[in-house]
Amino acid sequence: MLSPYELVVLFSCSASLVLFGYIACAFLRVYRRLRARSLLYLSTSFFLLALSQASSVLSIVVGPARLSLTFYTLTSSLAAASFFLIVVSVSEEEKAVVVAPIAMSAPDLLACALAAAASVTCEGRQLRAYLVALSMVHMLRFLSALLLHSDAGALLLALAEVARALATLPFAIFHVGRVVGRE
Amino acid sequence: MIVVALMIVAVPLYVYSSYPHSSSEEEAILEENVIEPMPFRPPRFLVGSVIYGSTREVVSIQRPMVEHYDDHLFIKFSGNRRGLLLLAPFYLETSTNKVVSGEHLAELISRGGDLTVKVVAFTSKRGSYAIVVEVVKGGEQYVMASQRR
Repeated sequence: MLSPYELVVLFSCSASLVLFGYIACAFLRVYRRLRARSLLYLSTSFFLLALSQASSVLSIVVGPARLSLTFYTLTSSLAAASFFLIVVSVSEEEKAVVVAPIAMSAPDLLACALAAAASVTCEGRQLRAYLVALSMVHMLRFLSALLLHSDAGALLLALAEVARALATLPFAIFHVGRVVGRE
Repeated sequence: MIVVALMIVAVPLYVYSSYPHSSSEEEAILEENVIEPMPFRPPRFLVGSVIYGSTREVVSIQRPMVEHYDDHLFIKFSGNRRGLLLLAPFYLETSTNKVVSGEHLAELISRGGDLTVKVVAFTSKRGSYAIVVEVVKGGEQYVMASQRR
């Protein structure tokens, strides 16, 4: 017997699945007439999004927790692959404007997530606070990379580096100094 | 196309293959005791995320040390580590087929003495949990209802 929560999620996922399927078919029909490659990419992308919703439905209805968790991650993987296809389907000029900053800033986003994860796993209040600060710095750098063509991007980058220096100064003097002093 | 296929299958396959082996009884006990009470039955992947975020080991404890905190029992295992003692609703005594409640077995374990408790220990950032799968005391052997052969 499904709970109200499961029914709401299942109904929403099923509705999205049908709609994504309809959009994928519509793009495929237009592609058959126009033969534009970007339309084929778009159709495949929406087909993957439909599959992603099917995976979400399976993550709710399957019994074993292992399978359910696998389908849960498959939902996001399919969606990510779908958006990747949309990104690579754009023209070369658009790629330079949209894809390049994303590719450039992705390491900062990864550094932000990893610093946040490290702050959770590490012992010590000061070290944790410092890692949270570094995580925020890389979030600022990520945003600055997306806006690098404007003044705001350059300002954000400067702000991130000032914040990094300000966070590192007390950590280096007080915390690391104390650790070295103990040795 | 290879990149897209890798993006789709890499993480789910990794999650599936690195997921700790656990029985449905263990999942049910963890769901009941570890996940915060919800007004609805939690989705299965929530239980899966609790198990996936833990290390699982089977430990046999001779002469168990049990401590009471409020209404909870904690058992020492693997050196100095402690875990919240969790029991299934019912256990079977294998020689007589007598069914005993989990509470009865908890009382037996907390009395201590010459007995061996086999637990499945889950350890994560949220804490440690020890699920009792088997208790041997004298000639009596208690196992989880579905563990019976």
